Amino acid sequence: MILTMKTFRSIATHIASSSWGIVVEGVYIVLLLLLFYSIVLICSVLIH
Amino acid sequence: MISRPYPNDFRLISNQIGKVLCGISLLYSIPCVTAVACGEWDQIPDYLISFNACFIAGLIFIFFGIGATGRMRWVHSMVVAAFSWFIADPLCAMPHYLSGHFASYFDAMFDVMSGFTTTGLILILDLDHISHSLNMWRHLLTYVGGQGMIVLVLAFLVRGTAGAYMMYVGEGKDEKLLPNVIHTTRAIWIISTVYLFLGTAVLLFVLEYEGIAFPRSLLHALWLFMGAWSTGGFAPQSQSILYYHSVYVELVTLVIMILGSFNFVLHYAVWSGNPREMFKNIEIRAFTVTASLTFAILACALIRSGVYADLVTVLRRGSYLLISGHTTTGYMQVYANQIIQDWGELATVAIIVAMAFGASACSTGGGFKGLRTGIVAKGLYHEIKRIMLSEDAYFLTKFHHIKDIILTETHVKMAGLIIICYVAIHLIGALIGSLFGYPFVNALFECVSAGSNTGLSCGVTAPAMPALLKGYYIFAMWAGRLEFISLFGLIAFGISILRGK
Amino acid sequence: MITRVCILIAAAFLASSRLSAAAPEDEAVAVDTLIAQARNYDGKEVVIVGELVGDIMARKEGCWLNILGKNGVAIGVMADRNSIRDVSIAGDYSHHGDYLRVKGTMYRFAANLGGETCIIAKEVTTIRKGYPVAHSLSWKRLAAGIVLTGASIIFGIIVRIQAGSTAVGGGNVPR
Repeated sequence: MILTMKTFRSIATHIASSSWGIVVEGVYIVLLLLLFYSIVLICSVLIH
Repeated sequence: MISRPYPNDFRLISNQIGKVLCGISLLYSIPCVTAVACGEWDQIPDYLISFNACFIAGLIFIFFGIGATGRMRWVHSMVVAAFSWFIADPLCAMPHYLSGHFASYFDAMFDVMSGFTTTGLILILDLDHISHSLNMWRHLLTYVGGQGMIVLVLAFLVRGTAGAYMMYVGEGKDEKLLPNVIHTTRAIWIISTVYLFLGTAVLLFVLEYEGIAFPRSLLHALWLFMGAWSTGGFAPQSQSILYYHSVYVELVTLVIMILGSFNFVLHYAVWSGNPREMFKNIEIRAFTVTASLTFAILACALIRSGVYADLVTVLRRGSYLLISGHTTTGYMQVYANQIIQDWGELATVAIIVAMAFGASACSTGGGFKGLRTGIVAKGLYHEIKRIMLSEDAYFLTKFHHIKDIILTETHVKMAGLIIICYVAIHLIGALIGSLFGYPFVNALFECVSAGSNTGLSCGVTAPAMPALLKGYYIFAMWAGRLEFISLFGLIAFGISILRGK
Repeated sequence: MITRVCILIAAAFLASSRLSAAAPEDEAVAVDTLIAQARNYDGKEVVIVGELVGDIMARKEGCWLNILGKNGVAIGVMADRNSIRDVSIAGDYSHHGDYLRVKGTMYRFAANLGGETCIIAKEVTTIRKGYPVAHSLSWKRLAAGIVLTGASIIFGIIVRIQAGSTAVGGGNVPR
């Protein structure tokens, strides 16, 4: 039980300390999806 | 002169393989606990037999390695990495075969190699009726395989560091996050565990919202995370992601797949206060360019075919399968036959190219890798610039990967050689597939999928496929995952046994 | 004579209607055929039979079911909540799911469902109720597991002793 709590606390600490990094990675993915959406729009205009 | 290996060389290798196998055998505790928790008592003897077989095999190797002296050399570590993966395959296939869901032991070995190499091609029969513990075992193999089985053993089980870095390189991960390789392997596991908790929590919430009841939702969330993060592409149901009929599940797994395809060195740099690296890194730039280009081709093909009524659906279906292919995951939300039959050959070619490019170096994914693609592109740029400038002009080309690095001929040569090796295994596989009567495009699609450790299927992979093709795919998955480095080491070792003096 | 002929015709009619009721699979299309030839069935009314597997996923627009055909291929079915009231057991390791007959329209890429390949059901009937599947413990396998555990322990001790003695005895093996 103590081990589990310790593991959870350690993981929580890691999540907290790396939260900005996780946000930055998320921002990149959002930008990539927006890029994909604009590609679909451009392709649609080009084809029709 | 090539020198023949001494008995001590075999002992060194045998000792390390034994340690890896003993480490792998401990993994059996997780499906065993799952079986107890889910009341699947009939499954426990299967894991008991499999654990002991793997453990005894490890002990036999350690026994033959007793008395080994001296330091590990590169050739030793390459043989250890290559052989560990090959020997662990049949030993980890026991629960698969004992479950009765495979037509033969060879098919079970195919699935295990597919899991370990994070490929995701499957030959399992009646997947919808397998036990929770076997599902846990399948997904655990792919999760561990993503990080690397030697990385696992180095991170948690080995005390000494002698030869550790060489074995780490032999497994296809040649970059250090930290100066010490043991710390590097632990950092890889910390990153994976942090995302395991976050990803599983988000997927659990989504699956509950989409109508899957607890505790199945928790198990599915965990397995989907493992499949997506390791870019393995295993799913608990036979329809893969199509089973969930949910845009939210697709969106979350899409994000996890992309995260899993990032270089662990990049994760570490961004997490430790260097957010700009995310937008400057050569691999991310290469991935963005290749993913955008292949997606543009795919989007054009889908819009022209007119199979989807609106652009949002084109974006949803197209981007998911493309990212699944490019990150070498292999999650599918269309049926296997629909890719070539309904999306058309142009879309198929776009996905084949995306799969071949693959994920980042030192990630859980496969393929050429963004680093190599970026280096070769930079090399081309360098050559074009050299022709344009006067003959006596001296200039340098740099690329950014954590730090600015001056591009050298060795960089380009090594990247080019490995890419040639990948292309060769893809083409040989396509040729073998064609010889067995499959259309060339189908055979190429499936072999690129196996060789780049993706797992998307157009329907070639099935229990009834020829045994030779299964064998070749096992080889392609293994060689592709270890990025040929260990294969070269193994060949060198074989030659030294045969021709050494 | 006429009466006898009438009785025979009536009997034959009854028998045929009973037969058709007893074998609802006759008119059904195999799920794998439906997927392989989706273009031919697109927008048409079809009947499929198969086992309900996994979960019954309730959504705003209805309930998603996944029906597994005989050849191991499954397809999604979107059904109205009211039409699946008597459907309760989904197949998994410990259950054989309800064996259902689904009548509905097949869509290769359903426009209003995000391009899903699925059937929008009009009628769902239970042909055979699902049931729990008992998996008994294999005593032979358990015995084999215990024997192997013993072998592991013994062999582990041997390896440890051997490794220890080699280390103590100066295990520098000449190359």
